[in-house]
Amino acid sequence: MTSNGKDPNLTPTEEAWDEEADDIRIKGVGWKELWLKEDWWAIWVGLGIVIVAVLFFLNGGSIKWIAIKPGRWSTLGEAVGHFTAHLPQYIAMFVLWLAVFTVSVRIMGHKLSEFIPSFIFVFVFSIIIFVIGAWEHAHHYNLEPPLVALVLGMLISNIIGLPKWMDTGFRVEYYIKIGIVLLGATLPFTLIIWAGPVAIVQASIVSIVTFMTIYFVAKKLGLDRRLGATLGAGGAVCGVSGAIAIAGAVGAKKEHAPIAITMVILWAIVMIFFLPLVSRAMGLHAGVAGAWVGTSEFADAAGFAAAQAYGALAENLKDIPGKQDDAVWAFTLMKVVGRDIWIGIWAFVLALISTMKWERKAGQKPDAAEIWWRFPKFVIGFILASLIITAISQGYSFADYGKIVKPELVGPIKTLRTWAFIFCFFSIGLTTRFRELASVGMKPFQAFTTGVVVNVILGFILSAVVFASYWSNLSH
Amino acid sequence: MTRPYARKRKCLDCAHFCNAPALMEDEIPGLQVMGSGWASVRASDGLCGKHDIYLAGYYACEDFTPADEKAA
Repeated sequence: MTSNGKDPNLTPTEEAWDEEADDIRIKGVGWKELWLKEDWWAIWVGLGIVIVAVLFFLNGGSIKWIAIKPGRWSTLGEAVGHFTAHLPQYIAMFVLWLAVFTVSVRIMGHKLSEFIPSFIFVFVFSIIIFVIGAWEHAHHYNLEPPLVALVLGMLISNIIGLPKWMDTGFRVEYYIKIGIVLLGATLPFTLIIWAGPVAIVQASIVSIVTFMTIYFVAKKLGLDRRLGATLGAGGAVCGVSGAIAIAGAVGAKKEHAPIAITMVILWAIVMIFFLPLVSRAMGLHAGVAGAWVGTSEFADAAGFAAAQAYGALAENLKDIPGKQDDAVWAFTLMKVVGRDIWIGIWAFVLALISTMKWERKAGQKPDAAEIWWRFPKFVIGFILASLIITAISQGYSFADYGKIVKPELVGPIKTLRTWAFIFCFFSIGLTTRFRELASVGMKPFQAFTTGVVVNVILGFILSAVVFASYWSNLSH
Repeated sequence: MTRPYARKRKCLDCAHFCNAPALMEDEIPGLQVMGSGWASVRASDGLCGKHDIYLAGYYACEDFTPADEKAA
């Protein structure tokens, strides 16, 4: 034996099969993800904001001074006047976001020399987008902030172009996860208990049927099973995150994930406009439309854009029943509770099928612990935020909740959530550079699109017919 | 030489495997648009440069090369 314990007579292959080697447990990130993954930082930042807001509230104060947003305006003078009067608050809020993001992205390994100027760019344009959305006639022209942010971002990135280093500040998933944790604070925990099981049943039906459709059409077209599974996860479970998780679980070829990701992105963008437009044409209740978006949108970020846009229409147009919260709540329950949290199970099951049926792989079998490691941890923050605010609200009557809790505690958190969402939607547009997406052959397109059609129809039937009474009564 | 209870070294320890989040976003077009290299769903997945596949770090194959051996 050599001094490091290795047998010098072993070839590299025999070394690999060294039965004396320790049974090495899965290494990699492990618990370091508490400070290395965006999911956990979304919890630290989101819950941090909620806890600070609660502490202020319990001591008779509020964070509403710093949670500033443009007010409704009808003339440019009014819009400018608002900024003049509240400039210190906007600066303070900018400093808050910059401080929080700077610390977190640096620890995660990004370059601050790239992130800071990029985030300043995002923040300035987010103000412009927010102001446009606050125009009193914005809703009549469908100038909802999510849609404006997306279109503006895509125009800038695809026509004008930005240097690649600016991508460091366009952290789509990080912003949306923080937004979702903050959303938890505005969603009663009792609603999660009441509507959660319905969301899980409905989402599971649609996810399984959609996955099977995409996978078996892909198989019939002669595509690699791993590509079929990756496409299926992208279309049925949770978009890009689903595709990348299953690609890793089944050991897909390097080009499989980009193909699935391209299909998800293209169809997700189509659905951001299609679902709200069709819902509006049919006069769907905001809750019903939100549930439909939850089953038939492919990514959290895109789905929030669609749900928030339709919710704003419901809030401002008399011919659409329901409120903005109905659409966003229904979407969240369907997508986050009904679909996102199951990704680890999908990955584990498909990894087992891949290693035991498709291609027998010698060596380590998939570990059930993967269900935890792949679990989208930001959901924990979402649930905790809901629990905390629900607990605080218990001591107030319905009238006092509306008079005190909503304006002093929940309202400011909702404002900060809206900022996080706008950062996200604008970043989607800025990172969607069509030239750089992987090209997709006709067969993957056919397989995925077949799944989209089935998904949209089935999602509509379950949301607008079978479970309509649940989704149109969330506020009650 | 037979080794009835042999265990393979995992991709995580292999010189051909890399799972750095920034590299994943560079190598997988569109990952950043509605996903992230820093997401929990990615666990410890990464790219195998030898076989051009994207896989979980707990897998293994015959072409394992210890990372420190390749560096040396």
